[in-house]
Amino acid sequence: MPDSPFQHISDSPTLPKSKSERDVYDVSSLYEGPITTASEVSGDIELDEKLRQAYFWIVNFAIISPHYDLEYHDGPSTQLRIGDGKTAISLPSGQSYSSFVLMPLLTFAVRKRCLFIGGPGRGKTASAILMGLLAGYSLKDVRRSIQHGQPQMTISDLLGNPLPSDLINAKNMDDIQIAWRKWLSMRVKIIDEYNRIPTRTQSALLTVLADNYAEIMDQIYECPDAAWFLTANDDAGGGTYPVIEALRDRIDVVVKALAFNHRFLDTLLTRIEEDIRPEEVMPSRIIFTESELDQMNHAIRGVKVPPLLRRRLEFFASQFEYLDFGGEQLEYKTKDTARIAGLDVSQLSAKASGVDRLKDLGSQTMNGLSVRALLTTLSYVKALAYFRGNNEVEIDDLRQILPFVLHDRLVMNADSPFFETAENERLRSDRVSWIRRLFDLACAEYDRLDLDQSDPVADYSKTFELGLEGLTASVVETRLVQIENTLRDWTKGRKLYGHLYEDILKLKYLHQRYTNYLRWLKWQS
Amino acid sequence: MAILKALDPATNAFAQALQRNRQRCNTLFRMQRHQHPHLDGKVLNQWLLDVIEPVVRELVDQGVDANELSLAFFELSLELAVHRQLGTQRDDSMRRLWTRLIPRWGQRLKSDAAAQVGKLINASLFMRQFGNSAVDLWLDLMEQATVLEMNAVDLFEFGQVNSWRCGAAQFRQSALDLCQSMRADSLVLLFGDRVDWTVANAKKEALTRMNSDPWWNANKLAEDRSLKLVNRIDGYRGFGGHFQAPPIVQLQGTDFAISDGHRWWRLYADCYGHNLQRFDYKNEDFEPLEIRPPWKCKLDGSPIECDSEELIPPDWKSARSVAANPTTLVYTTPFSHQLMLVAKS
Repeated sequence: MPDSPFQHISDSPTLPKSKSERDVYDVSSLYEGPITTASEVSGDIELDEKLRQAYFWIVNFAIISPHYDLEYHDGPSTQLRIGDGKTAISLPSGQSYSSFVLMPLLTFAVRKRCLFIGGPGRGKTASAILMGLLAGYSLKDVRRSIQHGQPQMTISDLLGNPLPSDLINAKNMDDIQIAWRKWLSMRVKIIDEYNRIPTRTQSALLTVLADNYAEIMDQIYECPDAAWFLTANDDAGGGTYPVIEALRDRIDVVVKALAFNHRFLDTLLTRIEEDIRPEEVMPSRIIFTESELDQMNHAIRGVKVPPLLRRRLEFFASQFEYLDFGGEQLEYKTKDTARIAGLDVSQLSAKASGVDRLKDLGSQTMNGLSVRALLTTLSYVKALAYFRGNNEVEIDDLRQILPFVLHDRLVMNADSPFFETAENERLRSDRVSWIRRLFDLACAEYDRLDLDQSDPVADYSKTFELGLEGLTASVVETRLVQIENTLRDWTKGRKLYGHLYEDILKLKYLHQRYTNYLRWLKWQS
Repeated sequence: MAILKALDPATNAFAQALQRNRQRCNTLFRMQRHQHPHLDGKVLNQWLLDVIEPVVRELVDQGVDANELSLAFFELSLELAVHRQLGTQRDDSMRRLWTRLIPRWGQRLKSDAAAQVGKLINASLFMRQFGNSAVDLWLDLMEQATVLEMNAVDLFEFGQVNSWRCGAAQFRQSALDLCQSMRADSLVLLFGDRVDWTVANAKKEALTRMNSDPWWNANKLAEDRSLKLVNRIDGYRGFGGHFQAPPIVQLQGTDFAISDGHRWWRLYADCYGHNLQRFDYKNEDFEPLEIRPPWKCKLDGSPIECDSEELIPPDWKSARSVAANPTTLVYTTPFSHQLMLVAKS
């Protein structure tokens, strides 16, 4: 249906690759044409293509989101500057996307947890509802399943009730049956205004969200794998109740509902005049079955992260945890040590440690990256590559995903001198751009150090991964000397930044493994 | 919904289904009309009344679910209207598809009706490029095939081979592959009964010959075959052809590459039809005469020889480019925008 709206699904391919000559004509193309056939749902089209069609249907007909903030460049792009502040206008030459639609869609694909933040009436709940419809639920079911956060919400409201007759007749706890709430069994779960839920109920929610089960009176309900969509009007803890940290930490990506562009008022007018509700007529062709979701999930996990790109991510992530004044012993020189001790990371970070604080990316944050953050990054970055029809993750995918995954996880040190320059002070309020800038700066440093070509730690690791079995004592001793020499070289005037700190710890680890092995060899002989 | 006034929802299954899905149908129509101001509700209603309602009635009598069918047919009709396929002269073959072929599809529409009918519509639109007679022939054979006891999957396969049989020469190879597993009665319908398709060896031999010789017609006697000008193809762009200037022909492997100096096409031709498909090609070394055995000829007007037969076809003396693969010789002249095809047929 190339021209018809609403039920219109973008023609395949939604992301055309370089055109290859079609030498052999296949008679199966007879049934392709302007009329989209439902068989395309049942596996005739690739699931990544279906995911893209779902994206384009949402941005073209359902959600008015003309913000193409996930920019991809395919060759030179036009860059302009406007105003006294020299605001950059970028006109991407590649297919670019709206994060407000794409991030929830990727969340749907990888079954993770997405938080929409933004003022009221910006389409947060509407987007979440569309995700429920994509999973094949009826509009009625999706609407009824939404858990609306409110100050009186109890655990029973959230999870269910014990049957009253059982409460009276039961001889022991096992006899009490629970009427579990229907939403627990759904593959898309929506929690509206989650920061209005009382703290105690938030804890019950945390169990479902983090561990996928619900518990009332010793009765357990195992929930299916699900994509979660939560909304909040204010991400800075301005809800009725503060969001418990563990719950906040379980949020995988944070998406901002950007302001409405008033040039699109005519579309709103049409919706009123024509009584159009896109969510009521989502085309069946873009709805995913449970098995398709499983297949897609499997395929996403199969997307490769090239070693050099993984190395770049390692380099980026290693910038943040190190804090010279965090501890005495090398291993404890971290922001986490200082934070647990109740000290102000920002103040400790400001103390002179010999490094250039403008250049030190670690000085811009109050914490380092958790394992959960890295796992989430890898999942989403694979999903984005899959969405773009690639088998391998590209550096731009990583650059686009990081701000949304780290939005609430990487806490900004607003006192860092980095933010005091005129060029960077706007980044204090724009966390997406800030994290993207962090990644760009890390990549620039990575390139300056030429780590793709010359990375002694990677070389030592590769040699070590070949195994210790069969190594002679003299070989081990040689390797130990090499490691020591490298460390000795580094001590000659080199300043200690986060990435170097982690390299040192890695070399210490390798040194220790070789030392233990050498001891064993000597004992054996 | 005006159509509901013309039909009685109390007794009419189509009207009942539309009544049940009234909001959805109305929303779809309104949205379409907003984007496509040309969309005419009266034309759509007339189509639904004249064409769709009787088809639904007929299919419901055969046991197909009225609700699913009606909604699917409404959405397909709306799409056709958006694509300007209704209310014009174009809707003749579309009308025939709906009124004659789809009712005969019968109980096969019990599942996936929208997909199946969508495929049939796409196929009939595709066949239009080969002319109205090709569409009619394709529909004729499809109608006849519905009488055979075939499930929908087999019928769609039949439709694919049928498209080649009706002129889509580019599908020749993949259609022949499908023929290997087709039933004898389907093959009789497609290629006639001169070959005994029920006998495995005869079927194999016939398909092998069809494979090796595009001009071998399974329903023609071998002794009728002789070297002749089998076709004059295409013409000047201004008269509905492809070429801006008199074309030249070149051999690319065993295919024919045709150029008018601006673009390149690949020629697909056999005893059932022909067509040209655009492709990107660069050839610096133009050879005016490229022929493969058993052909023998020169660009001096002397007769074309093939397996001891000779022929001087029209305008042969002024031929400026000649290419021949083992079964077909194609030549062009500087005075014509047509391609001349010589073969044993």
